[in-house]
Parts: sequence; structure tokens; C-alpha cells
Amino acid sequence: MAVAATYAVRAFNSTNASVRRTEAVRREMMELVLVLQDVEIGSRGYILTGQEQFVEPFERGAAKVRQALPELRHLTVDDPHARERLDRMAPLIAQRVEHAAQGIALRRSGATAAAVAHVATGEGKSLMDEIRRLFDELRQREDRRLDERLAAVRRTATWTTTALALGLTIDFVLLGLVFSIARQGLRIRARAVRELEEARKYSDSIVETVREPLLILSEDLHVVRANRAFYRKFAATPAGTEGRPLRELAGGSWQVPALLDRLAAVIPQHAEFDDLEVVQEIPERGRRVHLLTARELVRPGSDARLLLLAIDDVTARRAAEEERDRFFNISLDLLCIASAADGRFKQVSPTVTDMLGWTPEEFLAQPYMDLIHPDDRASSQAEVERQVRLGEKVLNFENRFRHKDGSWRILSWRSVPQPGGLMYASARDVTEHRRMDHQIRDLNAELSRRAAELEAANHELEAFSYSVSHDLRAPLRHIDGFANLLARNNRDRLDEKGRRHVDVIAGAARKLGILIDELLTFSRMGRAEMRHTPTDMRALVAEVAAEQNAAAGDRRIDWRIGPLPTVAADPAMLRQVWVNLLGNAVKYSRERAEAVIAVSHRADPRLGHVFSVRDNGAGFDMQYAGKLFGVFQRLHTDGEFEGTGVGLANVRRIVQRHGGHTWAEGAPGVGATFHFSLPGHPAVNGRNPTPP
Amino acid sequence: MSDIKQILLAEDNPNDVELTLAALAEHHLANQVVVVPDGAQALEFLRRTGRFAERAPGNPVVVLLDLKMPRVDGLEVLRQIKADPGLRTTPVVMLTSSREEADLVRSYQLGTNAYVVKPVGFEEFVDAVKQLGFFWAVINEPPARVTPTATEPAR
Repeated sequence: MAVAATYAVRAFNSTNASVRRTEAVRREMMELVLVLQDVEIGSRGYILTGQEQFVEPFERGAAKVRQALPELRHLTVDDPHARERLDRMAPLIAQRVEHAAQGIALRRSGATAAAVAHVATGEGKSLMDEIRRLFDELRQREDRRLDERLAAVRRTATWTTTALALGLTIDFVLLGLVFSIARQGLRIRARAVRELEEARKYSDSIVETVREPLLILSEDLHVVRANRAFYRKFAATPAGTEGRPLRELAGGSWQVPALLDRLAAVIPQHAEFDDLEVVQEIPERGRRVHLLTARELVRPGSDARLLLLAIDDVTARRAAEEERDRFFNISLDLLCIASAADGRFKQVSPTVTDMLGWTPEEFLAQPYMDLIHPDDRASSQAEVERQVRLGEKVLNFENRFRHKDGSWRILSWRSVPQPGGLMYASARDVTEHRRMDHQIRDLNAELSRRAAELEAANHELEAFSYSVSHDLRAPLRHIDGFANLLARNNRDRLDEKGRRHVDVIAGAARKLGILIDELLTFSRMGRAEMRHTPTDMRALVAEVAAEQNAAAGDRRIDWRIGPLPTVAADPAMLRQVWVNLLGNAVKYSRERAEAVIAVSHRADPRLGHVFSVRDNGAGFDMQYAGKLFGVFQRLHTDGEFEGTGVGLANVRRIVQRHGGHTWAEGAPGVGATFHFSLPGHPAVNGRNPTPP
Repeated sequence: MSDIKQILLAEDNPNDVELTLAALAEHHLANQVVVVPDGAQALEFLRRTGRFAERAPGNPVVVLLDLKMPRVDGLEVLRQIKADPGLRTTPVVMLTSSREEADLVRSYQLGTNAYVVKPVGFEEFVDAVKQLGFFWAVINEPPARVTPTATEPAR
């Protein structure tokens, strides 16, 4: 009895330990699956909202997983079958955690779309399914084993019926044990339900926090629930939303057949979709553009299938894009987006037709290198590479593009690189500029050539006048000299007539000498370098008038010199002008008992300074006014008034070189007025006070 | 050494020579004039070389130089006179037909003592020559005679 009892107790103890271990394995497994759910919910929450509060449960869960695995391994040390299952689960669990961690990392780096796509791959879900499947297998087996062990306990009990009391005791103990195990199982289940409830609250908080409106729909497209963002955005209430068909919401604005068809297919055909663009007329909000994303959901704790619909309102973004496109379309520059990856333009503004003759479609259809002049391809390729590889901007790069008519147009490019080998570029047609540059260069060359020719001609002219001044004057000197010698040495032998002939010869020679001198002066005035300095006209006129007055001897001349300004001019040349004009006035007024010579100045808005010399002399007939300023043009005979006809020509040449004009008016026997203008701002220069 | 006050006239044009001599004659200066037809001979005279190697030593009281002459022109003669320590102090008058300013400037740069544009009118010409000859040959006191240089052959 004692032996039997001892054996039975030992056997029972052994069986009992085994049963406890099996329970522990089950509990740990259950725990592990729940923890994995934490991991998943945490990572999805973070990916959807970007809020750090979801990362914490993820990390806690991941840490728990790392703890639980060695624990399980320890518990299954004497159970090769469970051990084998566990060894298959371990890498899957590690993968599941890693997958969630990648999603979080993507979202954190800002690649929200990529993170969402990462979740959407469904890889996490299939991993989880596999883990659950293995777990279920293991659990079922553990259940079986528990039954077996309980049976073994019972067998042991039967085997020890030799001691009834003891057997009774054993039965009692066993019953207690079974009761205890059942109670423990209930506790575990309750805990699982509680944890499931927590997970649901947890996912609810995510759904509520998400900024995008979300709808959860049943398979027949009735609203199961909506989040706060949805109610806010569509000004709806839970009472008027939950339980109602989607197509009745928001005044029927969801009644878009194409959309309803797509939504209806999501669950039966697992046809989830992303970024479906739908334009809706929302009451009181007007036309809105939505991007819709649909996902199939499994309601936690049941097999019911649900549909999650996320609504992204992109109305403002679309409006901005349209505005951008308008600018794109009206730009005079060619705007385009090109891809270095496939060597083509991706988008081009309609200007391309004006600029290069191609329609945008034709332009986009060709690799851009084919459109570039063969000689410019290497340099263009180098610019593209510099841009794409080094991320540098392109500024004012020029190359030739083929016009549809076969000609080449020179385009000047500006471009900025974008990630993904894209280039945002603008081009301006500079063909005309370049052609004009060439023309200007050619013209400049031509101008330089002409200037050189002119200089050579000037040199020749100078040499010529030098020669004239030397070689023409010498014979004249001789004519006059020998005529004089003739007259002196033969005073007795020459009669009156002979002496007069000699006088004429000498006079003619002298006259020719004066002509030559004046012509040389005239020629020099045309060629001499001008030196513009502030020239006080009043002082200059006073000085020249004094000289002329002295030369006129005892004639009575009434000089009336008005206020005259200081002007920017060549003083030596202007002196020549006044000498000629005042000299003429004195000369042609010599018949008057009292000559009146007036010098005045006025400001003319168009001509600038206008100077005038008026006399009361012989005057002239206006019909000959055009001849006044020509070289050798005279309106009087030498008998009336001597002269060479060079003086006024000189005046005109000097005034013209200063950028001014000359003109005159007069009447025979009344007098003449000569005017000349000099460009300048009279207001600035007309401040020369004139003493009476 | 001669005490005669000599005038050296370098002029290539015989008409001008005749007119100049006529003008000087009016003032009784003509018999003191040595006439050479070009610059080269003017320099030979002044340096007592070539055909003038035998002339009596002594510099002229004034040298009248025409600007334009064959072979060596007036400006060159002027330059050589002013560069020669033995001739530098001899007064030089440039006579020219030219009114070109460049010639005038160049002459003064080279150190001419006067620059006269020959007037076309004979009366004015006579006047100018008279004044020149009278000033240089009669009134002007030449600087102390320069001792002949050591290289000059002894006589």
C-alpha cells in the first residue's frame, strides 16, 4: 500500500508537472500572439498618423517578443514536436517584427507614401497568418497532450485501486486538479478577451486621431462607423451617418456609379484600391476633388469583413496644379520636364509649337538627343550628367534644336535637377540674338575697316595740304616778288599802263595766297581734333568785337552785345566762328554812317542754344540764302565787297562739328541776321550774368 | 679769323635766293651772305669740311635755314647745329613757306632762335628779311667766339 501509494504519488507528481508545463506553453503562446498584435497596431498607427505615441507600444511589444521566445524554448525542452513548431515560428515572428520596424523607419524618414505602400504589400498579414496557423497547430496538440496526460493520471489511479482510500484520495485530488486546470483556462480566456478589448480601443483611438476622414463600411456599403475627421469635414453627425447606406450620405453626393461599383468589389474580389480620384458636389462645400483609398478589414474578434475608406481632399492641391499649368501654358519661354533616365521630355509647354514647330505630342515622342544638333550632343550630354549626378543647376547653356521645318534654333537653357533623374528646365530662343550678335560683329569689323580707310585718307589729305601750303605758296611769292622787282628796277621805263599791269599781277598773286590760306584753314577745321571746354561766349564775343572794332579804324559801330552763356565747345574753333560772323557784319555795314551790330542769345527747346548776329548792312536777297554757307559761294562781287567765299563755309563746318545748325535771313539794303545753334541745356548754361 | 659778319643762307630755290638777296641788298647786307643750296653743304660750311675745308675759321652771325631742302632738310641741319658744342650758340632762323603748326612746334623743340613764315607779298617779305638781317647781323652781339676743337687741323 505504502509502496503503491508512493508510486502513485510520484506518478501523479510527474504527470502534474507535465500538465503545468503544457499550460505554461499555451499561456506563453497566447501572450506572444497578443504581443505581436501590439507590434502590428503600433506600427500601423505610427504609419497612419506619424504620432510618436504609437511607437512606444511597438517597441514594448518587440521587447516582449524577444523575451518570450527563449522562455518558450525552455518550456519545450523535453518536447521535440513543440520545439520543432517553435523553431519554425521563431524566424516568422522575427520577420514580422522587422517588417513593422521597416514601415516605421520609412514613415519617420518622411516617405509616408512608401510606408503606406509597405503596409499595403500584405506581407505582414501573410506572416501573421502563418504564425497563427502554427500557433493553432501547437495549441491543438497541447490540448491533445493535456487530455492524454489526464488519461494517464486516471490510468495510474486505476492501477492503484488496491488501496481504495488512497484511490479515493487520488480521485479527490485529481478532481481538484482538473477543476483547477479548468479554472486556470477560464482565467486565461478572460484575460485574452480583455486584451482584445484593449486592442480595439487602441485601434479606435488611432482611427479617431487620423486627420483624414475615414469611413468603415459593411460589405453592402452601409456605414458601420466614421471618424471625427469625417464628421467635421462633411458636417455630419453619427446619428445621421451610422447604419445608413453610403449613397444616401451628404445629399447623395456619394452616388457616383463608378465609385460605388469599385467599392462593392473590394470585399468579394479583394479589389482594394489606392488614390481613386473622384469629383463630388458636397452640399454647402461645393465641388471637391477626393482621392479615395479602400482597404479590406477583418473585424477583430470575428470573421466579419469590413471596408475601410480613407478620403483625401485634394481640391486645393488640384487648384494649385491648375494654376501652375496655366502659367506653364502662357509662358513665352519653353518650359519642360525631362528625364535623364530615358532621355525624353516628360512634359512640355505649348510654346514648343511657336518655338520649334512641333506639337507637344510630337516633341515628347522623340528622344531629346535626336532633336539636338549632332555637334552639340556631347556638350548637352555633359550638362545633363553634371546636373543629374552632381545636382548642379544649369544656367545659360546653349545648344541647337531642330525645328520641324529642318532649321536649327539656338536655345538658351536654365535647368534645375530634381530627385529621380528629372530636370525642370526652361529654354529661350536666342537665335535672333545670336544672329544680331554676328551682324554687330560684322558691322563693327566693317566700321573698323572704314575708320582705317578714313584715317588713311585723312593722312593723305594732310600730306596734300602740307604740300599745298609749301609748294603753291612759293611760286606765288615769286610772282609777287619779281613783279615788284620789275616795278622797282624799271620805274623809269614802265609807263602808267605797265605799272598797273605789274600791280594786277602782284595783287592777283596775293589774292591767291589768301585763298590758299583760307582753304587750308577750312580743311584744318574739318580735321582738327575738338577739345570741348567750358567757353565763356560773352568774353569771347567781347574780345573778337574789340579786334574787329580796331580793324575798322575810325568807323562808328554801335555794338549791342546781349547776355551770352558759357557753353561746352572748342574755344579756338568758336573764335573762328565769331571772327567770321562779326567780321562780315563789320564789312557789310561799312556803307552805313552808323553801323549797328547786335549779338544775342536765346534758349530753344529743340535746338538748345541759339546765337544771332544782326547788322544793318547791305543784306542779301533771301532767294540766294541757300548759297550763303557754300565754299567759294559769294553774293557780292569783289568790287562791292572783297572776300573769298570761305568764311561762312568755315562757320558752317565748325558749327556742324559741334552738332549745331546755321541759317540766316536778310533783305537787300536792310541788313542780315546770321544764326547758329549749339546743342546743350540752356537752363543750365544760361546763368551768365551780363553787366550793361 | 675773319671779322666780316657773315650770314649763311641755306635755300634750294634760286628764286627765293634772289628775292632774299634783293631784300638784304636793300639794307646793304647782301655782300656778307654765303648761299648754299642744301642742308649738307650748310653743314660742310659750318664745320669747314668738304668744299669749305679751306674757308677762314669763324661761325656766321646768323644762319637762315629753309625748312624744305633736298638731301638734308632744314630741321636736320638745325638739330645738328644745336647738338654740336662748337655751333650751338650760333643763332638760327627758320625760313619757311609753311604755316603748318607741326613744323613750327618741331623747330622750337629743336632750339631755333626764330621762325619766319615767308609772306606771299614781296613788301612784307622785304620787311621780314630786313628786320631779321638787321637784328641778327647788326644789333645782336654774338656770344664769345668758341675756341676751335683740338681735332681741327692746325692752320
